Amino acid sequence: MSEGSHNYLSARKGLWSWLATTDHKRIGILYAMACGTFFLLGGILATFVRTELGTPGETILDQDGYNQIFTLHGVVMVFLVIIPAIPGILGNFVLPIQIGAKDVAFPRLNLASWYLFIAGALMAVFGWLFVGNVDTGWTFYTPYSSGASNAVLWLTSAVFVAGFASIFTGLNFIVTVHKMRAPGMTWNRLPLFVWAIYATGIVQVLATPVIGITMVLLFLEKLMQIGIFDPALGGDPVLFQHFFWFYSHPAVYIMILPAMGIISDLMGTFSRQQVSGYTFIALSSVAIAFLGFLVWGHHMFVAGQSALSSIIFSMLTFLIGIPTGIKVFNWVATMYKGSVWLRTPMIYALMFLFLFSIGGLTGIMVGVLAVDVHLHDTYFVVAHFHYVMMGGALIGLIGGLHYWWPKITGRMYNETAGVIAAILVFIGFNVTFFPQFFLGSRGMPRRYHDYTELLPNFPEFAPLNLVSTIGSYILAVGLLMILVYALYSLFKGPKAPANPWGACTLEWTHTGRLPDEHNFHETPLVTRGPYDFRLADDVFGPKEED
Amino acid sequence: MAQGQHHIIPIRMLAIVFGLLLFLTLATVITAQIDLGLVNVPLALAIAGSKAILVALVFMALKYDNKVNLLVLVLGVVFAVVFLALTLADTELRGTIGITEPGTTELTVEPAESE
Repeated sequence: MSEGSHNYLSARKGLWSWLATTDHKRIGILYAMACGTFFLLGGILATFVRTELGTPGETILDQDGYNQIFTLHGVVMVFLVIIPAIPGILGNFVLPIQIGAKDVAFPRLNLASWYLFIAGALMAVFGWLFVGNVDTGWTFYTPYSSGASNAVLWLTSAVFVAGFASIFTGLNFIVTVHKMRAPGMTWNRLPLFVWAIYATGIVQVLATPVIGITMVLLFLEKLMQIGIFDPALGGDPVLFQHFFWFYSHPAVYIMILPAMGIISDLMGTFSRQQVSGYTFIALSSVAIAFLGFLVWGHHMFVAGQSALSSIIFSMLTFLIGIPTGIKVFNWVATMYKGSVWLRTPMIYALMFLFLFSIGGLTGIMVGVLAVDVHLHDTYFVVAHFHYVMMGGALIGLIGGLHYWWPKITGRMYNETAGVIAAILVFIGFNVTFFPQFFLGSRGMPRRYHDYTELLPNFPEFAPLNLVSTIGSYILAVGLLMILVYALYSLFKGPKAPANPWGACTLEWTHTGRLPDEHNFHETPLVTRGPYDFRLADDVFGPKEED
Repeated sequence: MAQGQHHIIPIRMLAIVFGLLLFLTLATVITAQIDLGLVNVPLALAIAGSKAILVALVFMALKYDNKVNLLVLVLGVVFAVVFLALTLADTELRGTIGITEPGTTELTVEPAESE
């Protein structure tokens, strides 16, 4: 075990040691700082949106301001937080150690990916602050975006550049998993988090180039008036949606697959037993990655797409439920007769199970052709994807951050504060988004600045929107509480033991309180699976007691 | 394939493939001059595809390389085909099925009048 002064934080000093680092762990922290900042920004924007909708009539934003704020909220949260966060932060920090490697396969490419991500983010911010307003929504649908302000070009360029960061990260992880596993780390001994990040890497490498191509075509159309998507120039606007969703639907799996990997690890560790259906969970990640490429047309059922395409896409959409269901049932089975230990990370894992199931099942509902005609572009869809994106991906990330926090920082956070914040987040989230299912099913459209004129026919819109807004404030308090006790833990938290959870994966069993700069003194020899708890207490000592 | 273990492709093999590529290029030019109706596009794609396969297998040495690299290439091609096929299933068939005659529930496969 390594311990002492030569851990990855103390091995080098100074700002340059961070800005020029090729250590995967430090790059993970760089991603954490960037994504955390953007999450705060995206969260503030969301609070503006909910405040505006809390009561009928204009409250704090005029129509143009509202359109810009929800566009930026979407762009920031999707492209600068949820897509890069788990692979960038936890994938970088944890994956190489979990497979017994000293670093990723291409450390410099890894650092380059962070700089590209930052460059993309700065382009977006520059376009927003200095070039003009963007009110297209995060989807940049044509023909509206073709005629919108030039700031759209800055944001689409930002997406293009940040896309390369995503490709670099995915490529790095694929090669790392193939080539750098420690002796004995066979494919069926890989932690399920590694399987999930590997499957995500495949999607990142195959799908991300398409969003790049789409943005280049949009760029060409806008600058050179070449008719590709704009009907006024002889283009086809639905074709833009094909291009856009061929990336952006698989991107949903870039967001959710890593979170599923985290949940698998949490379920095993905090149930103290072998993850049920290990092989099925591992391969279902790969199945989701591939099936995710075949369903993009379900975003276009009412866009004028051919009936044949809609039928095909609807049927393919239902298939996604199979590997997803395999995961959910196996997670539940993992807890069955396990010694469930309700620490903060496990509370988030249970929260994920509950919220993601709602998000997934409502996804099947909007995948039904006839139902989607009614629900498309309503608040039902907003609620559905927030249950998946936030209830799934971000809750998974928060659970993972709590789980690996002691390994990343070497310190423990306050468990009581963690539990209280988790409860606030759970209540706040449901109070915010559950009423939106009712709003949507009653016909409240998304992206509307005001609903005053709808109130005579739908008086329930006012109280439901108010409840949703109050929920968003509770959610904000819960999330801010996490920020506060995390910062407190960084400076004042008690020192963490090397393996506070009694986990069986290499980052806990073969490193000290903080990992070394090169992770291990000696390359580990792996002789057992990642969730083999039978010998855990004998070999690694008992888990920390309450 | 590990560094230092590259398969050396014989000059003769490279020359044969080069000759085949020249021949196929000639075939592209000649067939482009003849109107074969429906066969025009499939034939052109078949010739172009054959040339791409030859380049990938021999000049890029994928035939002798680790099969995982071949799999990566094939996956990329498969996904491009999936994207094009399902997009064309929309753009080429938009408005051609699922249209009911006014006053009936009978489906027609004829293009809608407005198309």
